[in-house]
Amino acid sequence: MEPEQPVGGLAYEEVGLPEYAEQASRSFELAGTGAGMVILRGRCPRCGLAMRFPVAERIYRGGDPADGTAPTVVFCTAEEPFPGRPAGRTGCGAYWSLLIPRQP
Amino acid sequence: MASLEAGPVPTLEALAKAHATHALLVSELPRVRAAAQAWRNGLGGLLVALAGFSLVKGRSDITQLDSPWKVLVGASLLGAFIAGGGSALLLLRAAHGRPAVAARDAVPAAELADHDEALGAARALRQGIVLCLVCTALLVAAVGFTWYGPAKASPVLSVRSGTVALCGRIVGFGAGRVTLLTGGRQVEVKLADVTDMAVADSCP
Repeated sequence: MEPEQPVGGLAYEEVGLPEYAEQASRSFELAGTGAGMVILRGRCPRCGLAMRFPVAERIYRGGDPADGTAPTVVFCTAEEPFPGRPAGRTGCGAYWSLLIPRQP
Repeated sequence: MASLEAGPVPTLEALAKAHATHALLVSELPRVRAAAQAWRNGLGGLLVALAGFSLVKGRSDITQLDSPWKVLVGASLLGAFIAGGGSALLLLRAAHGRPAVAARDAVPAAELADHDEALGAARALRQGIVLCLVCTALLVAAVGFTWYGPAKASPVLSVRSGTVALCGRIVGFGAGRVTLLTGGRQVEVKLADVTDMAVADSCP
């Protein structure tokens, strides 16, 4: 069941479950494409908060080119604070992977 | 709805890499801007240092140079000017962006616009660096040609004495006579017998 509202009291925890990917593959959409980049938009399967996740083929100094055939690791980028979240991290900690079709 | 497919649960290493990549992606525009400003300052310093090179003086007047070398110096300076101007524009574009105006409906998502600008700025930065180095090389070449290029040859004297026409460099003068070096030998001409005389850059 896809959560529609943020889950109250959820602490940060790095957790990856197969159902996250299933849920995200059904509910996420491409919010924009261009310049070798796609933007995924949807609700985090764990916390239910809205999030956007940019995926770029090439990044200025760093990062491997995104391979359209390899799964892309996606993680929650919700901006709300979650207890226990380490510095430098975003979201609630949920992560999964998606196969994103190569954009023309 | 995009045709997304579920992938396997990522490993923790893949997650860490994804976090690092994401951090690079969201910070790429400030990073490329900072790099462009640093390169702009560094390359500007390089050109200033090059200008300080003139403390060591060599020949500075290109009119003293032989003809093809004079043209070479001029071409090098023109090339340096074009490359330097292009480099400055590209480095400024990389450091500060283009003053572009977009239609309201054509403004892309912020992430897309930033990424597009970051890639464009990085490209401009690379091209600006190359052009600045080309400019530097051309300036050095122009200075080198000016210093070490062969001096312009001294003019020749063309004289006619009766039915004899002579042309050559002056190697001696005095007592109403002029000595010309022509065809590898020295010929003395009595000025009183000269009916026509002209100075030229070279003999016909």
